[in-house]
Amino acid sequence: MSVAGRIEQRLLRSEAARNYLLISPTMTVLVFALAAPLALMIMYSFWRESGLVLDTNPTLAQYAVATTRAIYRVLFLRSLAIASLVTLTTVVLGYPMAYFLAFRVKRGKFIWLLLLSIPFWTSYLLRVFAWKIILGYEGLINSGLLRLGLVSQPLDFLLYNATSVVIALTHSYAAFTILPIYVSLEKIDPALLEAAADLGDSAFQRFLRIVLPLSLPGVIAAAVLTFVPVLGDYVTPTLVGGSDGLMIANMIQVQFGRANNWPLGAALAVSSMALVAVLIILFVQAAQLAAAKIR
Amino acid sequence: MRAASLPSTGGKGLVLYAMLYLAFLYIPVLLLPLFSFNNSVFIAFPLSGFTVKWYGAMAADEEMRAALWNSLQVAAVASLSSTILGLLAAKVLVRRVPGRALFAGLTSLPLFIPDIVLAIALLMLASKLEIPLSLATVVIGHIVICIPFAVAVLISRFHGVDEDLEEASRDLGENAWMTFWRVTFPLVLPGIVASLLLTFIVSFDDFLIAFFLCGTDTTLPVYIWGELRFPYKLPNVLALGSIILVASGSLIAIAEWLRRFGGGRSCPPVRVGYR
Amino acid sequence: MHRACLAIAAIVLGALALPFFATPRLIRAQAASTGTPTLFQWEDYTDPPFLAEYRKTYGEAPKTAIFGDEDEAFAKMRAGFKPDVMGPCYYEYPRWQEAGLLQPIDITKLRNWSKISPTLRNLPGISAGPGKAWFVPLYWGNTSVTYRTDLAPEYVGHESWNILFDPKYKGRIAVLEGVDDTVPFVAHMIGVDPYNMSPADWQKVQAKLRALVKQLRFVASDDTSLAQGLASGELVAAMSWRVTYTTLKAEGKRVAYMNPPGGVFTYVCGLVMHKDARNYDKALALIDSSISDQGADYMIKKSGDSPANGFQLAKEPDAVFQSLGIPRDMDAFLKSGIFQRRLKNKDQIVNAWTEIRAGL
Repeated sequence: MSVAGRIEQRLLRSEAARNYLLISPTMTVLVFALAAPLALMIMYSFWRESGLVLDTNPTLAQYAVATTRAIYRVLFLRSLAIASLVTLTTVVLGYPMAYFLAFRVKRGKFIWLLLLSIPFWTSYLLRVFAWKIILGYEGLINSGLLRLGLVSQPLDFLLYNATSVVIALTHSYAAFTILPIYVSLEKIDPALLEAAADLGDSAFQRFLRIVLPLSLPGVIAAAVLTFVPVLGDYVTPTLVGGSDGLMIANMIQVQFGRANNWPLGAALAVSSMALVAVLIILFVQAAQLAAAKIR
Repeated sequence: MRAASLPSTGGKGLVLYAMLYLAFLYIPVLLLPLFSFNNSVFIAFPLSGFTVKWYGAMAADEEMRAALWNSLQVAAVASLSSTILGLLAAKVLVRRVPGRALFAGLTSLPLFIPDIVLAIALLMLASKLEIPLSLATVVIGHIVICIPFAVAVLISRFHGVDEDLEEASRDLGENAWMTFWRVTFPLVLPGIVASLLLTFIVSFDDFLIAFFLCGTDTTLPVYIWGELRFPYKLPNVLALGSIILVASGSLIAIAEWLRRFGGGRSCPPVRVGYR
Repeated sequence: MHRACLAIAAIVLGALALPFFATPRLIRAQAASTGTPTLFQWEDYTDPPFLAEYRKTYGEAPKTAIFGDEDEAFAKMRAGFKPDVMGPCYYEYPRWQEAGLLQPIDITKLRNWSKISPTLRNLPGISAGPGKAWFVPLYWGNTSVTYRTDLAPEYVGHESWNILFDPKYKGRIAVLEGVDDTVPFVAHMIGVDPYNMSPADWQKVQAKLRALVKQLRFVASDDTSLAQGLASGELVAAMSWRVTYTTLKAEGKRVAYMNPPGGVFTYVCGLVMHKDARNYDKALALIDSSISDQGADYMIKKSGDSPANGFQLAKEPDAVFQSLGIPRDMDAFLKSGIFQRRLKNKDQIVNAWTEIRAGL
């Protein structure tokens, strides 16, 4: 065997080296692409900008503003509330669907996956507009109710408030929830379920003791993949939220665009990122503890 | 297989639920074709007569078709690349590798950074490096935001894929690549398909990063966002959305035909794996 | 192994991805260095009629990039995007000038400059010295109130912007999101000059804005939502651009566009040139092409905004003026309105408006 061959053998045998090699392309892309945004965000958050002049003397002024001005607190809490509600509803509504797909569909799972994905291939903006048609003044629901004589005036509380934001977001992020849950349910070996049935467990007990804990990684992934993007979504609140529906992402957006205050935007971004990260970590820990307890 | 005879996994209630859920997903989206044939610029009930003029206007709108085509290409490349990168990462992240927490954090980081920050920072990076803006820069931006999704979906599939299986395969003489292809790959197949679908959606829907990183070729969301300023252009966009629906629907028909043609074997496999 | 489904996915994705790699993008991007200018504009203004003259002169098509929001366009350029000719509005371009993004345009070399209405050619501040201008007007429109004549008949003949504050229509009013539209509007209503506000004035305007927010159904980020709302009767009145009115009128809705005694607001949008434009003459030709008769004609027929090029407009029959809702003497009309120009302390105003909208 050649020298190179021997080195390769030794390299491949070293498990750690093999792993690092495997993960290196992904890490390279990420480090390269993320270094800039992180550096930018952190540096800018310690600067000041007035008009178009950047003052690079380090200062905590932006963080002071971000944490003390009432509006950011209000919006952040509102965003948390909306995002939590959306995550809860998508997971609760999506789990049975994923379950159906994993256990009840025997043939043509791929077809079902496609079926579930297709609504999301029409553009995001179009989907939000579609909800405007449904919830709007002369929209689907109102016209139906008027036609049936159930109301005399169109209902105006259906649109342009936090509720419509939640409904539209629950629809938009359905795929983000179902796919991860499906993937982890799919893995469960039917032999386990059969064995439990043989040993006398009822359907509900089987679900609680086998399916739920084993699918928990998928549920956690689904929750995180839904919660975080929803928190950062500013388009849906803008289009269907009315004045009631502004979220923290809109505020960050405004600082980088209209209000032209990149440092404040950066400080807001860093603060909200840090808070969300802490919340997610707590959530995942709690979920894993709960899983352990069920087992 | 006895799974088929397992006493009720949900029963008829579950089937009904699935149908209702599909209805929930589709009703908003089916309104698009409905109003794309409506003879009015405004989308409201009652309907005002049938027309195909919006489709004509859409067909004449070269920029919109170009934007759609660009979005499709970008999403295809982004989803393939991010799934491959996610696959490599997920494989490693389920093992006990020193530094795993750091890698895991890094792969989820793009999810936490607000889109606007990511978009502006990547643009500044591209300008500094004098990389001209084009769909290629958009693809790179999209790969970055898709990786967390790919990794998340694939990790939940990789959990429990027994390392022993791979080791056994290697002990029996297969090299690393063949081990992957013949042992690991089939086991994670559903995860790969799910990852491709999810990342495709993420890329296709993204607006902000595409806007900042695109040059003279726009993507569909950017185009539609610009259209909103002109109320009389909304039905054209609805027509486009309907065409997308029909095209994707035909994809299903093809997939179904292939499935029957392939001898009715379920796809992906119903149960694979010994864990 | 049953890999059929993955094969399908891979084939479809591969079919889409292949053209991506087949077109050599870097090479195409390099072509930009031969000086083919890039036009960075609102969406409709990159259509062929605006580029026709340029194509005839140089035999090549210019490149185009679009934006849907001036603030996003500004952020993109500050982060490093370098187009050659851009299309901001009169109230916005000073910010771009201060950021050092612009260079003066030699108007003596623009064949179509003299066709632009005199009032617009002499807008305060756009001159950069003899024979040069920072900003070349391309089109203009108005900001006023569109309202449903059948739902608010008492205002027909007694037009007043106070309809926005009429308690009878609480919850059926909408306004535009941009501070450049809404703040001057409200300031004007209480007799404050929005472009010269003292701190006391600003307090009064804020109070009025708070009262306004209580009346609103929503704040519109785009014209389409306003038009839809008025069409369906969800809104009785909305602060909007003229184009909203013309679109509704064309569809047969019973609406009117207010022309109250105080005058209406006029926004003007046009073209500026980037300081690092690769080829000055080509960029100039691109500007000339946009303000040409062909562009003006297209504007009249399609977009509902009125062209700055009054020469072309004058040739149109009365019916066109009626459908646009403007009188024949464009110049006089422009003089009677109030031009929307740059707000001082815009950043502060933006932050305050966002807080007021959020209910604080």
